[in-house]
Amino acid sequence: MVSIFTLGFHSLKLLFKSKWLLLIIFLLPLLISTFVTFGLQMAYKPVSSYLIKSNSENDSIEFIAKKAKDAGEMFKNESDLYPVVEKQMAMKTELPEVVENTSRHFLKLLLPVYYPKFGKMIDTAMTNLNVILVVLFTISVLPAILGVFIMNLDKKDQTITSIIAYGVSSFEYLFSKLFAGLLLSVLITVASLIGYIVGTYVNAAVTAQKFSIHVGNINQIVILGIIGAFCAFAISVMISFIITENKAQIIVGGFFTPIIVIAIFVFAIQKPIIQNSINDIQTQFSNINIERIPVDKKEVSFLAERQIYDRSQMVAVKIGAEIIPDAISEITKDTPKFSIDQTRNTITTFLGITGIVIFLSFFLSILRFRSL
Amino acid sequence: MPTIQLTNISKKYGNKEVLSEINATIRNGECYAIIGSNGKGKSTLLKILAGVIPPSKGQITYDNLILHKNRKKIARELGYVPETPSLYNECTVQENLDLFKKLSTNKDKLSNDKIQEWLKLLQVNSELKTKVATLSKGMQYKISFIRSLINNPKVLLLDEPNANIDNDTLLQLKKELIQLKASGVTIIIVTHQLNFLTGLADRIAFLQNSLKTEITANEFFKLNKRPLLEVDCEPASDACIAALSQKDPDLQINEDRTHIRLQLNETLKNYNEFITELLATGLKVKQFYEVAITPEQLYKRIIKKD
Repeated sequence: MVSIFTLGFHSLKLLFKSKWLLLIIFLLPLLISTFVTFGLQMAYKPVSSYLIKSNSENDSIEFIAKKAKDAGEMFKNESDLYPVVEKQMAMKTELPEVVENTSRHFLKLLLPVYYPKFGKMIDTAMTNLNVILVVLFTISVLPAILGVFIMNLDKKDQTITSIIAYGVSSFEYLFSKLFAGLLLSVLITVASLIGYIVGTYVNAAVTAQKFSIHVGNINQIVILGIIGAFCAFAISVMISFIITENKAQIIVGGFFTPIIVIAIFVFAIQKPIIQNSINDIQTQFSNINIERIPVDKKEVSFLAERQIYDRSQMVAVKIGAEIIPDAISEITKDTPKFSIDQTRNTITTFLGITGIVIFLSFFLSILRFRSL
Repeated sequence: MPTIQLTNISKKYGNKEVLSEINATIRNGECYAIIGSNGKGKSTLLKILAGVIPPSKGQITYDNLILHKNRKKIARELGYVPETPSLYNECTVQENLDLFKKLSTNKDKLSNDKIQEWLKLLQVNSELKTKVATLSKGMQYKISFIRSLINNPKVLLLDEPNANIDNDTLLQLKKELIQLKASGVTIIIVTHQLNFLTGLADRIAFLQNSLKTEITANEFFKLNKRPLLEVDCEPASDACIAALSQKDPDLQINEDRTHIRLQLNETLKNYNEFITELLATGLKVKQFYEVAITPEQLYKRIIKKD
């Protein structure tokens, strides 16, 4: 046990001797996460999502601008205030057109759905994004891959020979690399999370969007950790066994381990406690990533006011600030929230991916077996 | 202190059998040398003895403890020096030694002071803060050797200690190995250079995928002391060759008769005497030199002797 931690920490120490590698490991996920989050959130809004869904044939901005114009028209025809306002405004263009133009300009800033097709793609991706899967992979596949990567670094110095000769078993060695991979993975996740927070914060600062984050409770994190550790172990055993020269180990690693893993997983998800936990975790994590808080009317109003003011339509400010948010609110009031109950999706996707892994495992095992 | 018993050890890599049916008993406190040319399974056998790789067949016991069932326990008292230093090149000497000290589970492992003593003895104490990658091969081997001693081993396994080391370092290493042997440490050395074994090895085994034969140190000394000489000369006449054949009936000669290899039957007392004898045969000698005997040549001598 001691040797697992000793070797694990030593691997990290070795890795971080290269400052460049440290920068890449930490900064790259941070920057990528920041920009991707910012970009995705800019391109993907609840409003745009709704508009794309309900108006796939129409241009979203034109659609909402027309709604604003209609609202302006209604105000012009039905409001007693209009003659007063018209007098005060003393404007050359009629109010409905002012509102339409202003809203178009405003919406272009608020809803950067520049390419509806691309927006639709992002929308689909975000809808199908399963946070549990992302987290599971972060704590399972990633550590396993990093563990193998770290093992390869050791291979260069051929230190494994002397380590094994010191009585460290190959399993302890494997676990130590997995432990290092897990720590590294946590670092990468933390960097990505910071990037996500920065990206979201910047995004929220430049557009009308609220920023909030919820983290699951400790039990849920522990359950995720156990599932992740289990997957990481299975994958590592599989990889390690496939690369050995021992035919019996290849059979165990390449054929039986994935089957055992999938059997245990299927057995585990039958249990209500696991299902509930997955549901709880999904709910918690969906608060972080999936559920966007709809644009707040007050914020829209403020931004619209700014836009109209900037366009020097002084008198239209009050009316525009009323009409545009109302138009948007009316359209977006039915903005669908994402379905939280994604347990089935989680399991299906996990089984699908495990199936692919099993297929790959079988395939690699057969190749390896034939080469011996 | 353990007696090491190898029973029917075989090792296959794919379809290639590297070791076949190795049987041997290595006694407590002796220095057992395994010689053989490259690629004949010496390092593989040592790795199996160190528990680094398992044999495909057969078993090894240390004092009646089966290696693959008691690897941790046996490894506690084992020191293994691989052919390549197997150190973390990006770490300093100190970091490398510290790591293996942490990994050692032997209660009697060397103290820091004792490690310092070894570092001083092998003259590497000034390199503690140096990155291993910047050290010479000889220095790296010394560090690897000291690392193997951290366990305070009762059995020391050395793979080609003379591979990348200069003569001075080799002599120093040999001296320390003789000391260790005297203190009761069982030493198993794998090498293809025979001179290193003189005065150190108690028994020498010739390995060519399987153990061909074993000889004692005395027998080895007798066989090894007969010098092997190579002579560059003007094309030798039939008379010259006939005269030289009396010294070595199996002498080897190249096609244009300008290069002769012969082995003398007795120790070469002095070169002047030998050159006089050579010139007396009518041979026009350009130069001659003594060459190190190879394991194969030694093996041929053993067979001949038998």
